[in-house]
Amino acid sequence: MLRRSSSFLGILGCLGLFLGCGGGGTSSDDIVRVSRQNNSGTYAYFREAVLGKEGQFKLGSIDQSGSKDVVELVSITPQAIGYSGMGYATPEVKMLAVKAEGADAAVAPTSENAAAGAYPLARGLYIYLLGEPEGATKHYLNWIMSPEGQKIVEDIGYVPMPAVEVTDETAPPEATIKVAGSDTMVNAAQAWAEVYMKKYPQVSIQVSGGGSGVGIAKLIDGTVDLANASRDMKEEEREQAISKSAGKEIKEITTALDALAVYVHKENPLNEIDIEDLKQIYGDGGTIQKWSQVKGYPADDATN
Amino acid sequence: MTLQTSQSEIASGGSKSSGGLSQLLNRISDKLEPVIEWTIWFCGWSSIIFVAAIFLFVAIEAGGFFEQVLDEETNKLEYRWKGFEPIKGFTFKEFFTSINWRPDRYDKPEYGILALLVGTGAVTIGSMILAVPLGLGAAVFISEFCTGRVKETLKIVIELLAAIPSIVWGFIGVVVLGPLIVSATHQLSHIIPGFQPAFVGVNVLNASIILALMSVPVIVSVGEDSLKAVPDSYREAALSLGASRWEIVYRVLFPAAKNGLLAAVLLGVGRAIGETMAVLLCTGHAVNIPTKLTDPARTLTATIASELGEAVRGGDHYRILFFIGVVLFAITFVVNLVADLVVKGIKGQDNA
Repeated sequence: MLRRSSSFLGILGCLGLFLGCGGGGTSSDDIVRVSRQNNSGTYAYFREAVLGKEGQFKLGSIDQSGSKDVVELVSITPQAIGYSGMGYATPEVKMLAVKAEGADAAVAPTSENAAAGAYPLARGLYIYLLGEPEGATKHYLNWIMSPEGQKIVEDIGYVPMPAVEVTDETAPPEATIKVAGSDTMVNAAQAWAEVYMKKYPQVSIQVSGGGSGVGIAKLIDGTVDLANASRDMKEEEREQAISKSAGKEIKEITTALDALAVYVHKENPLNEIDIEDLKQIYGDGGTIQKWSQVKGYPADDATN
Repeated sequence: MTLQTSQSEIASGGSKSSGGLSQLLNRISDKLEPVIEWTIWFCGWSSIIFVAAIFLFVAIEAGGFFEQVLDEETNKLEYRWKGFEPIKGFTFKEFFTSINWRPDRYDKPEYGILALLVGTGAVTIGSMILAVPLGLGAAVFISEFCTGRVKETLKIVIELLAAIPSIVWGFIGVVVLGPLIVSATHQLSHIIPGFQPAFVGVNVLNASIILALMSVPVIVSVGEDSLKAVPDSYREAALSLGASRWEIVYRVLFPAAKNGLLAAVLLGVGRAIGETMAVLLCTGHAVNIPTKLTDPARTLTATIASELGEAVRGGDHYRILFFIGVVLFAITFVVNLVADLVVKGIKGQDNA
């Protein structure tokens, strides 16, 4: 058995050798781009904020299906660069400060900077619903925007919105509220639901993830009451919603801000990055392939 | 016959009521017989019905023949026939020859699946290079070279291997095999000058190894069955002619069991092409034509899995993903057809 497995590994090694030599190309200076699958809210936001309205991603990036997966892959890949929500940072990765076009200095991705509008990669986290909220749904949404709801947002690592004190003290009626959508928001949505249900046991809130697109599709189909989304509703979706819901109005509530952090491996010597360099790394037609081309990267200190 | 009649005589003589009961049972079974017959007929045909229905469903979704609209009177959602409407900017030439997969591009979506086709092909071929020798070797070992407890243990363990869910395989690929590949190729690059180490653990090699391990149990169990089906007289005849054990396997068993062994390999290929979750995690999911084993890639199945959940239902992106489903259908159909023809060809030679 041992002999067989060792010869198996030997064959593997030979194959790897042949194909490794044939291909050529990668060196330890190459940037490994980590991205998200093409319909995640994070992907859409990053494209708009970094690559511009008409910008496209360079193909060939490693597309992960979850915010956490991006950070995990970056943490085990020394040459990697990735983007993901600020709340997903671990000790194995480093968040780069980002310098906006025309800005004087790079800004670190912190809650304070995002709330002050200084950090260039911050986006809204939305809840969508069809028509005016009523009963328990209205009570729940008001509670989310109250100091108590916004405290949870802050605890999870997002940037809270200015809280609105709830003046109406009446308890919500018995109800079930179904919520689905953005994977970025699912931890916040779950925390809201848990705390709220403990406070008002007559209301049952069912939270599921699936992605911004799934949440909105379910809202349009009428299978959920609220859709979490980390991107704006697309024109196509707005049209569908209106045609299928007998002309109900689409309501958008900004519940929090999420600062998107640019992650690199903890041993990467880089500490800050220009938006323009990010665009050259990720964008279609971008010229940056190697870490040594990035501004501020020490030329002789390449990671091995 | 005589025993039966004597038994029924005893039964009818013993008590009249039990005779009535058996008559009743007989009558019921007479009535039931057509129902049972029909049920069995349905079981036989159901697979064809299901395949046809699934193909129809996938094709209808890809064609976008129906649209969901709100009925003003009943206030319910209804499907209405819309007719075929071509997807904006879609051409077959671009679909099969372009590597640009950007279905989300808002102004001018690009639907090129060449990179995904190559990815599926690379991962499938890579896994078969590993799995076929390993699987057939294991089948020969289990069937010919071991007996008793060792044989039973091996068979059970290999069947257990088949029971591991694909998401677990994917996880093993990312967490265990990925870092292993990175460090192993770095070690090799120190020994061999000019060797390019892998920088990302998730790549074609990773997915090939994981897929190989997933298809080995299929190949082993089908291959072992077909080797077992070769009559012992063949082995005895070969032994009596002075053949060594290796000669028996290579010159007698392989030719005798080739249909079954081919079926085993093709079932393995089927598993590799159709596998989704493990390759989604292990390939790196990058739209990229791999030029070496350590490059990340993306497969057709993984693309459907990761994008369908968020595509706007009935939209262009959604329909393109279903069209990829049609392409996958066609690929497996061709593989099966070729397998059938090859098996028939081998049979024809045998008869001649």
